Amino acid sequence: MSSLTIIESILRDRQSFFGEIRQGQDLKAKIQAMFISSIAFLALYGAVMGSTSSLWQALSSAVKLPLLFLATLIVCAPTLYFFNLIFGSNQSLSQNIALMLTAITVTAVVLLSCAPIVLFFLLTSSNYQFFKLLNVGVFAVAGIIGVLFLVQGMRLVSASGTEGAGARLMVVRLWILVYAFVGSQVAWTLRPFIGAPTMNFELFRQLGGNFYTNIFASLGELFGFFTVR
Amino acid sequence: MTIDDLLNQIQPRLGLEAETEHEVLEEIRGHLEEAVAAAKARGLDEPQALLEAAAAFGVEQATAELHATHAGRGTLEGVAAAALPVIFTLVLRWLIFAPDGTAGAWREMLSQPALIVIAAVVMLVPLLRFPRRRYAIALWIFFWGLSLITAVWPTVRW
Repeated sequence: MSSLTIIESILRDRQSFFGEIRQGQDLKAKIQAMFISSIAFLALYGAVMGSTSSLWQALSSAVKLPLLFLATLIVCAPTLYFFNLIFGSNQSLSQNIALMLTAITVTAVVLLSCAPIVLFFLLTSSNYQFFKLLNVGVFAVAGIIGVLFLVQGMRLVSASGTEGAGARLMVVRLWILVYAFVGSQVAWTLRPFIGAPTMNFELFRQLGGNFYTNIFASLGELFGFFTVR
Repeated sequence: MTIDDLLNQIQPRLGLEAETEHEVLEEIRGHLEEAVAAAKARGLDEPQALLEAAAAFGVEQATAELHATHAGRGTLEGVAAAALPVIFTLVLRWLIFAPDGTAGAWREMLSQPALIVIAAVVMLVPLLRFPRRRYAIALWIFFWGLSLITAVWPTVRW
């Protein structure tokens, strides 16, 4: 199964796709194809983000953005698997990973589709805070669409009529919150992805602060309440 | 049974984009009409000729093969339309600008027109291979134009 065929299967024929995951059909090939396509798309989007600053930042972001999603997947995958197991799931870890990778792949495709828009603003706007918030918005939309696919997939794969199905669905919803928090913290740890115009290139910045206070500070500066130093 | 009935059986199993599906079905229609005409020429009546043509075509196997051949092409075009102009614009950006983001390399690039020509040719070749290349090329020209304007117009910052 090629990387592009799998995207078409997920987006156009998701019922059959999730049905195949449920039966454990070609799981290895599916995981491999989703892995390759999401890395490629995320790397491209990362390169666009980093291109506001320098070539080194573009290359660094192209590597770090796929790393961000894969690190979050590795950190969060066992939690989803074991909690599903506790509430009566018969899915294997590979099936769980395939479903999570489906969400990541959909997120990556949405990010890729937004790349020309982000590039347009990169070329025509010089406001760093605006560009940062634009990217946060794009990631939020892409992430929401991705997790909607995860919820749909979990519903179809984990035998919705069986005992504990309701509890498992609740587990998935809570897990999505954990996934979002872990993802934002991994993103904060791996920053910068855009690169502030007043600062030199850094592969990683010093730890301190958090993602949410930074976003509020950017909103404050964008709307003229205060200036971020 | 008519050719349309046969095509209606094949259609749901193809699972392709509407445009590609229409092209594939028209191709199948052409093959079936030829086979029916040949069978009629051998003295078979219309229903028998159609049954023979359908059996020779092998609906199940042919549908699976057509799906395997055409699946993913729509996505490929979509990915190409979104990704290629972005990639090429980034390449142009880093041909114009020095790695640290300053516009120092812009003058150096002007003194190496061969580099620009090679870059343009190399980038055009893959674009021309995609059926919906006009969209990708239009987007590419838009971004390249914008990139050049912002690079040579000193009051506009990248």
